[in-house]
Amino acid sequence: MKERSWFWMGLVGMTALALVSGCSSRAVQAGGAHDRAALNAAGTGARRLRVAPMDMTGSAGNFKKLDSAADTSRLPKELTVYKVVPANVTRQQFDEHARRLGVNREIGENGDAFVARGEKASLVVDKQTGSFDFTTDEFAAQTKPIARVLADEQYRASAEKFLVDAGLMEPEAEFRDVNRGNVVGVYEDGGWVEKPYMVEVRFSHKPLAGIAFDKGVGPKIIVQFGEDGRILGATSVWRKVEPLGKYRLKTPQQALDAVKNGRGQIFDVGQDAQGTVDEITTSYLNEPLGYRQLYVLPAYVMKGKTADGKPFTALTRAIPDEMLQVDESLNHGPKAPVSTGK
Amino acid sequence: MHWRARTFASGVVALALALACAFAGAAYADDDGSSVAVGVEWVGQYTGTGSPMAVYGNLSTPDDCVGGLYNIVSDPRTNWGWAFNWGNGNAWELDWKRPSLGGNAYRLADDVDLVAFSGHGTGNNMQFATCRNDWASTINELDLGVRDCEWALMYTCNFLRGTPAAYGPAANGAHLICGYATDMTVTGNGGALFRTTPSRTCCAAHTACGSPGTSTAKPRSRRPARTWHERSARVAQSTTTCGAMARSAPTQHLTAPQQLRTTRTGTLD
Repeated sequence: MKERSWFWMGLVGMTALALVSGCSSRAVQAGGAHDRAALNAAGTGARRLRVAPMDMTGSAGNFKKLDSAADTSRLPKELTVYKVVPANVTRQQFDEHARRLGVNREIGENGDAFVARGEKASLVVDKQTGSFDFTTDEFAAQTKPIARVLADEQYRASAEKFLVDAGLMEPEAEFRDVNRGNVVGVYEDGGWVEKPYMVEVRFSHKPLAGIAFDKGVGPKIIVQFGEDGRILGATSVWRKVEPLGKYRLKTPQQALDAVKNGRGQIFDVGQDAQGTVDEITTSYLNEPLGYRQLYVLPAYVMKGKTADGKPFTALTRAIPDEMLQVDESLNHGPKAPVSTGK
Repeated sequence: MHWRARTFASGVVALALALACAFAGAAYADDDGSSVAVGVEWVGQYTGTGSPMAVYGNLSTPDDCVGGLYNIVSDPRTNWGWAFNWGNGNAWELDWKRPSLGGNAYRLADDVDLVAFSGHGTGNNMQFATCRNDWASTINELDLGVRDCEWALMYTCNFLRGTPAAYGPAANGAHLICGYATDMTVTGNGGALFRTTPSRTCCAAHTACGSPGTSTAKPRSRRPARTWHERSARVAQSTTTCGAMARSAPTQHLTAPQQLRTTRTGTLD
């Protein structure tokens, strides 16, 4: 009898233990618990931030020698890491955008996006981020230079009104510029002439606690204009963020070493270049659409000149590598069939 | 009895033909008579290959970058074929070189409607990881469009560097060669976004992708196209250049001879 009661007590105890550990395991996997654990990592390194590998430039540029003449005394020792808040766009929200834009003739879904088609325009909204792509048929037909280009203020006012009316303006967006750089080039009278065929009003993200949030595929909202200030389309790459917690940063020297060792994006540098960094700043990185970006991390942005005097830029993540869990599944999609037998 | 058997046999044949027609799908060909197809090449693995690029490291995303174009093929609303997807050591310089220079473009890069490359590029070239017959294909060895190519997407750095005189001759009938005049980041979503936002890339491809059965050479499709690379890749401190090009002689694909569209998107960097 006594043996039997020990058996039952043991069974109950093991069951309770299993239940507790199961709950605990689930809690760790849940987003909130993961974030708390990640937050603790700022001090302990016990839990790392899951990030996609940093994309590289295609030029194979690298430094054989890289020095720094930059003043790094004012660089922060730690910065806030931000968590990406999924937009989780609902069908109801999408319907409302489509209605306001008059593109609600056909509405459906295409994988990760809602899509709508109207008489003369279409709308695509990424469910995960809420980024949108509104395109009029006139956009495709806009092939000639704009005959009447308006003033910047007129474009800006029109763009802001359009975004607000459509419910597409983001509270954290701020006006950036009016871009007239989309040009058509034509040989005229034997000479090469470039004229704008489209004018854009661009909005970017407000800085995060004083630090620019504009690197990588910087967050952006763009409204495009054609002839006579008519709106041809609008598009965005946007992620909502909220603070996760403070993280200590690599030292500037560690960042410099990372770039030197090819662990960073290096722009406008040839092979085996020599360079000197003149300026180091910090900025937040936004990843391309289609990437499952979970956290917005700070990066060091280095600007300098190569030995032959050409300017270059290099970026590397500012969070120490030991705090990061690099996960290729975050930026690699389904594989396309590969040809064999060549 | 004999005529009944014959009638029955004829009926079976007719039914089979009808079914074949009904289920064959809206297979269509563009005006060059071929079916509409995508072909891609990419190189991510350079180290250990002997390539001059080997010492400068690998890229992890080129396969995803151009592989995303498979979305065009897998979309049930379209009828594109997936002609080839050669990667790493199977991507060759010969595949892009014009036949007059001894290349095989006539049966590869120029034998599909949409061709794409992703990998290293050091300036008006594509860098390969095997030497068949060279480590790099330079832009002046291309004459896309002579056979079939309508659009080429070059997800590599500096491919369209220089003036139209430098890169224009690479398009010999192609509507569009789209690439960068500067460094660019090879992102995994380049091809996928080309498909999901087709109207942001080129209207001719949009027509062909979104409207099965539509000839890509119809007037609507003849417009020189634009691109929208700012969304799919990042350009640092410089500009993106994209053009629909013609050689000195007008081609049938362009509304205006010697016209080139350049999109300079600037940057948010």
